Amino acid sequence: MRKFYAIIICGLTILNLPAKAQVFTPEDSLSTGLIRSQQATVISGYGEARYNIDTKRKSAEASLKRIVLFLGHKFNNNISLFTEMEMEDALVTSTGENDGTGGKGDISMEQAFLKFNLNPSTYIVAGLFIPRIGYINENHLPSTFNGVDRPFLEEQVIPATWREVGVGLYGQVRNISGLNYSVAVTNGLNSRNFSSASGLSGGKQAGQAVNGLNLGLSGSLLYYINNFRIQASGYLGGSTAEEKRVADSLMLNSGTFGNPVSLGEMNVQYSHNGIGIRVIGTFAHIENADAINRAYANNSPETMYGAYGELGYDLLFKKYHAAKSLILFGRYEFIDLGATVPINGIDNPANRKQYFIGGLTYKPIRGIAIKADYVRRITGEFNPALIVTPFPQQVPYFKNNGFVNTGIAYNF
Amino acid sequence: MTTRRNFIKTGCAACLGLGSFGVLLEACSASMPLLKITSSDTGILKIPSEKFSVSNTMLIVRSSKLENDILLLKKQGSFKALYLHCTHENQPLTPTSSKIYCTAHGSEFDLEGNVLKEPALKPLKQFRTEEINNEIIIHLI
Repeated sequence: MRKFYAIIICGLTILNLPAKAQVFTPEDSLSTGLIRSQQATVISGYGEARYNIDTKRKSAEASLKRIVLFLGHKFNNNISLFTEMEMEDALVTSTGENDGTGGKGDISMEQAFLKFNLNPSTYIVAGLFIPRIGYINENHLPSTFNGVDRPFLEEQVIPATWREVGVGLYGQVRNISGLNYSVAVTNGLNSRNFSSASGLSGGKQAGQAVNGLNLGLSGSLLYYINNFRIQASGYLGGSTAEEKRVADSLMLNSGTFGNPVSLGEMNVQYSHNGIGIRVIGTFAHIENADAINRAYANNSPETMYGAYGELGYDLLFKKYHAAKSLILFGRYEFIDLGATVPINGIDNPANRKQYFIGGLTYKPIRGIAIKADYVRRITGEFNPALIVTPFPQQVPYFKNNGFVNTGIAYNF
Repeated sequence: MTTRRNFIKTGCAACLGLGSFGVLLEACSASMPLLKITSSDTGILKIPSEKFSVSNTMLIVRSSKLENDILLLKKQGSFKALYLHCTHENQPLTPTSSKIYCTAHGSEFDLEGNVLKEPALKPLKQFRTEEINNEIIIHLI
């Protein structure tokens, strides 16, 4: 009988060991960071699903919006790897067919970079990473922001999630407690994919094989004081992602800062005792937008700007101190994607948008969010001159429309 | 057409703005003292008690044995050693006089190490401390 128990115990031990040796939770990795090998592997992730109703068009959409798997590995105390693989909209097919339904999804790397610690508060990243521009770019986990959708400003004026290949330096300022900085050099944007309706976001290159010598410089200061988080960041980069021969044929400036895009933003956040307030303002300028329009006929605007303010209150804070929460929030956003258009551009008042958003975020536990909100979008009239080939059954444009959104999100 | 003058003008304006912001901040906040430990004792860090005073109750401890710093706090005569290592994705943390922040994804912790704001879900690692002969001992293991 003793032999039998001994065999069982040995068997269980053998079965158990490999699993512990291969995968660690973040907490376990803390301990493993102190052992001789200093190595640790971490898995985490996040995801969200949503259902939204367009009240004017009487249509609805259900989607598994995104699933992201994080895999990190610490090689030693100075070098670590961070990767995030993202799948959007659930299904990707190579043939475009799947039992009669074409795959609408995308698979992409959201981040994949090596981190080299110069010291515990200063490090360099190299690879595909998200520079510190705006708020949502770095803080994009769906269980951490209010609203089923990310703030519209931070998708349309500031691209999100804006990742590029490059090198970045991050650190804390020793003499000023709470002050952080970052500077980064990345590949530049691609003006071929700019548009009047989606701003710069189409121009992000996301680590794809990138042509052109254009680069982007970005920098930020991020300061924490009392219950405030204050950030200012800027970006300046060339937008001609073409080799010189092609750029010359398109009569576009090429080189490092050919046809530069500049973007600046500042955001302030306050959070204390269940109250959360965030305001952000941003401005973007596309130099030589007329040349871009001449080359690509994409109706690139010259300047864009926008701002939003959000107020939220956790109705359960006094009882649960954010371990469980029910956040009632409201947000107002104003965006002008065509504040000025170049001489060969077409103004579209529909790109002057206001959003009124109100809703609830319920978190039964940390890491899980159940969301519901209502979005009222008010814009100017759509310019019919932009319809090159009118379609007899053209869907009418509603300049005052409402959307009901629900969603679930997780993070671990 | 883009001119070099425009580029320099925009770049300088951005640098000036960020620089002014930094100077403004410097006027608002004091630095947190940092102590680098070169002790070779395995698994133990020793800090002189004199590093703490009535006005100074927080100290950042840096050791080559660790990937990130330790925030050593004195509160009502006892010491707490929090590992400044985010429990979400192991990024370094920024301590202030009221909270501890992760710049990478926005996690926040209080000075007890508890999570105030996700994505971090677990509290900060704490190391055991004891005070012996005017030295604060931090036990890493």
